[in-house]
Amino acid sequence: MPWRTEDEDLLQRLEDEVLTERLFAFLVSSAPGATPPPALPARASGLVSELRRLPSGAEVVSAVLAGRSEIEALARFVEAVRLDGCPPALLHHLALFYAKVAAALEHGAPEVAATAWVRSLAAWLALAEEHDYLSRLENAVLGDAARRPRGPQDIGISPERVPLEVLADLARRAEAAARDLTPSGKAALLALSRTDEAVRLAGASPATAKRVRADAERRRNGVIEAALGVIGEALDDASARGELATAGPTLLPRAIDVWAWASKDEAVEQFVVDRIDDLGWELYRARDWEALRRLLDPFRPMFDSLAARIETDPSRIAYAAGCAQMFVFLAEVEPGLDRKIELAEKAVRICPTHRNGRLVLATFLCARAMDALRTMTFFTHNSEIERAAALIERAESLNPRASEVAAAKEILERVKRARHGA
Amino acid sequence: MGDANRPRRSADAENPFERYDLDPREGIEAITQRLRELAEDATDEAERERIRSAWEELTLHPARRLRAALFAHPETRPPLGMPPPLARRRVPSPRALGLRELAPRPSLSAALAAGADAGRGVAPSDAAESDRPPPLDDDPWL
Repeated sequence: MPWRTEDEDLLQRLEDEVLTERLFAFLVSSAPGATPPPALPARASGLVSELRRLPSGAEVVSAVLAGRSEIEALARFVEAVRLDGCPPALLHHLALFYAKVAAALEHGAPEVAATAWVRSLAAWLALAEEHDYLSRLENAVLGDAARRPRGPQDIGISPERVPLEVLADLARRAEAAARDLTPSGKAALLALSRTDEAVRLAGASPATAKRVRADAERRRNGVIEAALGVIGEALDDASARGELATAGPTLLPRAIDVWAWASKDEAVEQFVVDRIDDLGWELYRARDWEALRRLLDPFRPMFDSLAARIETDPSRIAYAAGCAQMFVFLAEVEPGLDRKIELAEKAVRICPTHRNGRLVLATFLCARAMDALRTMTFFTHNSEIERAAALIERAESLNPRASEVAAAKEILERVKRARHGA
Repeated sequence: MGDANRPRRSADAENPFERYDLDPREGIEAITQRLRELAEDATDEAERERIRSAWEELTLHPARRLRAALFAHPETRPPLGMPPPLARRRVPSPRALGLRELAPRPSLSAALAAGADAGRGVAPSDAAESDRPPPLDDDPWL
């Protein structure tokens, strides 16, 4: 019986199905924490038939089928496909295929899943830039309804809106996980923070980049607010009952979990700084240094992170004072003078006009100067006296009215007089 | 892969176009026709109910149909052609079959008959062409 074109086509379909399953299993199983891959729909294998049409695509596919190359070679080939100028049907397949990879990985390997979401979004962005394919699909699916002018009652989705729909899906995925902070939400949230990468892969325009970034940021903030809302409400309730000082230290540490879940997002750091402020002052006024130290300790990495953001970007001035206050609290509960000065210096560096920061730094500098002056002898070198004088001078510049400044100046004068008299 | 009724483990695979191997570009009539066939073939009520829900989802809500179409893999596989023609069946002999052809397999029976002729002293070369046992490959029962 002769081998017909139809037989060749059928064989290719079967080979493509096998290869698509192998590619999917490879991408899903090679990640840490992977679970057995779910089933793929039959038409997903159209991905491989599209890859065969690319330059050198057929050779790569044949080599893997013949066992001359590993499946990894096909994975690398897919990853290297340039999305701008790519056939739109292949873009459509890639967008959906990577979404399925991400969905299979999101529970066990959220970071790897986020990368797959980014690749999926990139393919959608490239498809939206191409425009015609999605328009034709919309026309074919909706018929006459697609030809009506766009308006509030429009049931269609314009090509440029399709990537935004994908972002909305990611946000829904993240929000569904916001209460329990599950890894799937972490993957989606991470992907929402990596839209610039998707835009770059897609070769999309700067206008698209701006629109997508703004939309993703808004949705991301909404999800993080939802995750923090649980803690905020509990703190408000405790405050209303007058139990903030006792309940706060047990409620606030949940924000550390949210911070890790949200991949160290700044919004969580701002929330913590806001919420610790009230609680910190309550303990400060009560002079309960041990409780204040216990409250602050777990959040040190968050304070450092926010401080680094503010120091590298002066436009983040809105949270400078709040963050500086955290370092003032930390300086207060620190036992050693060197470390106290270091933390107070940081507070003033973050917010140079921070009143408490300047006050405590001035006090610590005076204490350091007075410590030095009190141990000086007849043989002390002049440079040491000058160093103490510089500390007092700096303290005075920070806070001229600090009582410690006057006391330190008096000791300095006494030391100088003693040496002069000798 | 390849079976429209195959159970799916992933929620993402629940796209009705993918689940029932429907082409969104073919329109509502084609969707309805295909789902009706699947419903008729369904063996249990739960599956029939799922098919009915999918039909409602895809035909009663154009916006949802578009959304499902966007999130379904497009059909880009090579089209399935006609299956190869079945192997040519041997045309039965116009001669009426006797009991000896019907009882055992015809080829074996004929082979046995040939052996019987030989036993009666008839040389195989002397036998008429139509009486020769057919090759086993042409046996319609094998």
